[in-house]
Amino acid sequence: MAALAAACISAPGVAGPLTPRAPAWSELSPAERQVLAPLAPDWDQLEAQRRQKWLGIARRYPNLAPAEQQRIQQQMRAWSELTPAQRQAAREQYKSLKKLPPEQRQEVVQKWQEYQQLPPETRRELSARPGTPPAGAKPSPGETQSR
Amino acid sequence: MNDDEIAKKIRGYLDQSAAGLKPGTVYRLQLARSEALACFGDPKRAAELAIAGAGGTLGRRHVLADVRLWLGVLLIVGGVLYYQYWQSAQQAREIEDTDAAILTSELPIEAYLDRGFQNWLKHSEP
Repeated sequence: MAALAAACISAPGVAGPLTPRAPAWSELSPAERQVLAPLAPDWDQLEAQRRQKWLGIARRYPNLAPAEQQRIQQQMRAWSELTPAQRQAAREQYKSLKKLPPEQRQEVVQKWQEYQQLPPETRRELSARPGTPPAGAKPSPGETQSR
Repeated sequence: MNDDEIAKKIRGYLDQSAAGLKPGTVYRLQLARSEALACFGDPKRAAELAIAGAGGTLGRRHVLADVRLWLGVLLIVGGVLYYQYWQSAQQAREIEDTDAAILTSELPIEAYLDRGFQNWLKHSEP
């Protein structure tokens, strides 16, 4: 019993049972493979946690609106190719935008389109300005790994 | 009255009392006697019995305390493991929620990573 308790208390013993399963691409159901098709080339290299996350997203997929399904398909691979720091930065930024009042949140999409229309030098200047970007955010347009 | 007469009297009283013992008491006495005889050649076991006899069920209590202690340790370890599992599941769920929201949002991923856009948003805030 003492050995069992010691095994449970030790750190590697704790990490073991908490590590999620990492199903191979061949183990996925046809529906999951269809949804996660953009990730197929890299699937078997993804960490177990990320595979589980994508499977969770695949489970939500049938309940999404067609436009949302399309956006997920378009952005899935780009998101997967970001570095962990970039993904974390994007999550932080998403959370900060989520705190905006609903009317301002609606405007953000419109403002992104307006921002895209700005001359490249203006955007470069804006990027160079000191701010409080979330850690890992790209410093200027065009440097992102995402599509 | 000499010693022999006293011994006869005592024996008489003892026989009389022994005859009036309940069957259960007689059985327990027989068990105790046979156990004592069995341990007669084993000094270690005899010492354990002596301790048990002196302190009631001391030996059994010690074992019970040990079992309770280990059950307590197992409960605590189980609780810690469950909490870690729950916390890690919650964290994974939160990341999944956020990622799904980002991927389905009308804003492209670039918008969340573009420092220029973030500065421009701050600048154009009312």
